[in-house]
Amino acid sequence: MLEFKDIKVRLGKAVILNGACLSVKEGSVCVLLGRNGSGKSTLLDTVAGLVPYSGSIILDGQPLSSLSTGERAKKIVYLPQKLSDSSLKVTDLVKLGRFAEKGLLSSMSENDIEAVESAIRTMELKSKAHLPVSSLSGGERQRVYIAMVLASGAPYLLLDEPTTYLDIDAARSICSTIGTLSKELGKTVLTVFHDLSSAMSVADKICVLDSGIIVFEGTPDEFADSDVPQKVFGAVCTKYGGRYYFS
Amino acid sequence: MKYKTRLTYIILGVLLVLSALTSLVFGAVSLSPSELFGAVLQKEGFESARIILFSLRLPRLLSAIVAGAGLALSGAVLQLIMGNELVSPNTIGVNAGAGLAVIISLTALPNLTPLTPVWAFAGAFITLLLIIGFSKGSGGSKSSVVLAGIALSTLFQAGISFFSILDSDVLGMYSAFSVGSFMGVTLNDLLIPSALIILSIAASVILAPAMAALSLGDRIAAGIGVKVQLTRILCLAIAGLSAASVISFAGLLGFVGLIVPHITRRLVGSGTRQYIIASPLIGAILVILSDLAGRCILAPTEIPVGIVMAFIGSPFFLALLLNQRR
Repeated sequence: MLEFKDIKVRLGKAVILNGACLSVKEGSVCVLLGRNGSGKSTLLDTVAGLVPYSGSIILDGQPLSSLSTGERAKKIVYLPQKLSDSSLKVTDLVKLGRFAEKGLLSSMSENDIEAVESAIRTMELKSKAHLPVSSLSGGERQRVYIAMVLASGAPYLLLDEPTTYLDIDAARSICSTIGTLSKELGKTVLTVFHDLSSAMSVADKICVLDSGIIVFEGTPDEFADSDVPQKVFGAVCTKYGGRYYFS
Repeated sequence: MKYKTRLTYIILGVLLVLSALTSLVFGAVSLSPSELFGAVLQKEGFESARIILFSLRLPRLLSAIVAGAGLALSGAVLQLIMGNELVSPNTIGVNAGAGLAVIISLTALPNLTPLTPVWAFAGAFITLLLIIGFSKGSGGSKSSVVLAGIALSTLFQAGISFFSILDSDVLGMYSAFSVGSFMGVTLNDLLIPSALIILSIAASVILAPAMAALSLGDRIAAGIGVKVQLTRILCLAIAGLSAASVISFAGLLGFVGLIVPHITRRLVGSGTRQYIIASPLIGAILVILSDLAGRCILAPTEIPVGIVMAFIGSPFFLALLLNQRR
């Protein structure tokens, strides 16, 4: 279980998070929604230690602040929204996912190699393994980075807007990948989405951030039935053919 | 180790040995193979060859190897951790810091010119500490490091210009330092710089995975468990110490730190450890050949290696950029 308790973040005079509370169950996909500037990415940043915060983050009953950077990364890895157009080859980039497990002094063990190969297979990147990441399409690049965090072996994955900049097909493929991570590999995923329909298709739980606090926590069905889509996003939800559409 | 990587190291090793031998044999006075062996085996009748080989050529060769390796490593590390292919030791201000320290020492302590390498190292090292201090204070972001380097460089260049105006004799002496040359370097001058550069290469090889992660950006690196600020400071220290070590005996030798990482990337690909190991080898080969050209082109007049590097380096770099675009 990943729990955020009363998280407050100030950047200068601006209050970004104002007592956000959130819990994510093991093996589930929790999608964080909110308008621009609502504090979604900042909440994920707190886990990676990228912003100073008050409050507590509890991971499997242990305060995150009591873990070293390496210990933290063995349990929870974070993939930010903006991904680098790296000249590294796909395999070399995915190998970096083993950084926390392997450390600086040891070479890749059989376990490390297996984790990397398995992540590449899961993300269907075997045919691209020896290509530079910069030569791939946006969707493929996103999959490479997801393979990197998957190779880490960490049970908790934080993905910040993994479908941004992608066309519809690529976005759909990433959504399906997120489902696989949770349902087949047992990973716990906390992810930020902008597109409400995509969020509904992958989420076990929806959380909505508004002005630095969580204003809604519930299942996709509860979200669709609530007045939150209208109030926060000005959107009307329609269910058709088992899918939710927002207009 | 992959076959291709091993082959690349073997080829670079062979090229280094060949360029080193060429550098020992050719110059204002060329040594024949018999003179070379006679000098090495300390045979009678080869005294002058021995003096040329051991007193002139060998210190030059070792200077070129240490300078090329140190500056190339510095540039390679900086370009990697800053994610910017235009960064070089010059960008973080170590050259200007060393230059300012030297010109102040020439102005204020003209009787202590033999200590110029010490002032140069001290200037570069203090600049490095300033950059690291600034980096720590600003959260260690790469743009703040580059901008701080540019600001400090500009400030130090203004200082250099100021002292140049005060005394034209000082300007003359400073010019020799600012061009970069191996004239008069002894084996003793190379002991500490070589040790620092070997340590820097070893530390860089160990830190290579963390540097690769930093090249993806601070947020991604932090997300997979890299201590971003600590790693960047360690890498800055490695890059700054390597460059400062070279500046202490060779002066402000430009271009190596900028162009060698580009050549290395094209030759060895994207593997970070290979890039870190190959850069010093390529830097050494390039500087040996530039020094050799400087000694041979207008022999017996010698062109300082810094000028040859600029003449060869600039067009080569432009061609590389055009080729990359195509």
